[in-house]
Amino acid sequence: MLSRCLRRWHLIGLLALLAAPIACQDALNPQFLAAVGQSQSSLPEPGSSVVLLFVNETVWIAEVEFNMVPRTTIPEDWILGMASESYTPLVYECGLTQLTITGGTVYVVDNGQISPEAVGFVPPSPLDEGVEFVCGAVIKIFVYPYVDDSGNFRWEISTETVLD
Amino acid sequence: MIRRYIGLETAAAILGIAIALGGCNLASQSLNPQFMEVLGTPFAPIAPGTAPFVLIRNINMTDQRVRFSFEWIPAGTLQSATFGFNVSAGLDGGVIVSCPVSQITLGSLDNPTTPGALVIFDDNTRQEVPPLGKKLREGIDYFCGDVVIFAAVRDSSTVGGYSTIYGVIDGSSQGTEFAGANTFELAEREIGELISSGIGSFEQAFITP
Repeated sequence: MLSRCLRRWHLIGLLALLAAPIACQDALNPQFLAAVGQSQSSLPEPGSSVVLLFVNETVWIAEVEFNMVPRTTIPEDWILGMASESYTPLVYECGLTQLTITGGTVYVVDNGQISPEAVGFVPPSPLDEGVEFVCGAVIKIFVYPYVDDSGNFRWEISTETVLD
Repeated sequence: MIRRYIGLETAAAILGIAIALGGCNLASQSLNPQFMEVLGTPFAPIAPGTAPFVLIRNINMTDQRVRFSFEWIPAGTLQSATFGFNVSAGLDGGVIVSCPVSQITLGSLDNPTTPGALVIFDDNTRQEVPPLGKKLREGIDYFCGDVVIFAAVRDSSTVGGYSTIYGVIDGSSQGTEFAGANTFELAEREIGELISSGIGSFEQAFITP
């Protein structure tokens, strides 16, 4: 008897819940519940993200130039400056369809002179959503030094996607 | 698993009846993302949640490019760090900062009258957006694991036609199971490995001297 009563009670509640989204769409958006701004209702619905974890492994200041193609708007060029031996975790809402590393510079200081040196790139680029990354992924973008065949220091950018 | 299902079903029933009896306001106070798992496991997290970060996001809801500048006090220091994004219309950009983060604001922590957003028009003329005028404090306005959002919006009530708003997403009620990648847990692991190998946080580099 008690069990039947509970089931009926659940059914009434669940039916009410299923009907609720029609009337209470804003209220049912869970991400807004903790909003504290006075205009919280006008904030867009937040979503999941992609993290771009930039890593400068060189002992010099470095820049990475990249292009992002969002699903809903026009492509966007970005330049990120990084301190020596540091990481920068940038976050973009999912909807990024393509990420292209377009260039990089390492600012080498030699005898007080700053010498900008171009950075090479290790494929793949561009990185495509659904191929090299998906929503929720962490994409690592490394700037690192290496020694070429002539024994000179050079710099390179490579990427790695982390999903688990 | 069965117990978990029964718990969710009961919660659903309670909520449904609450909505029916109390209307949308009551529903908005009692819902949380964990409950939404009844309707399906989320694909990926929105907030850092259990990962020891605060995500600071800038959203440009205007039809012009906006330069955001925000300050926070990084872990282990009493000085503030400044960072910013140049965000096109309709886009957003964010950065993860490590806990504890005692204060965050759009603009300047020292001077609340400093604007934290600048509208950049197509002809490259610029217009300051009125300051947010609010310091957000950990433990009061947000907690570790939350998302702090600063957005630029059109606002006909201001002289320039733009203003900034803020909001916080509660990371603690997000749940811990996701159908896809647990983004911030992955970021925590990767950042931990970087720190172990001697790579430092960008936060130290952006501390205001």
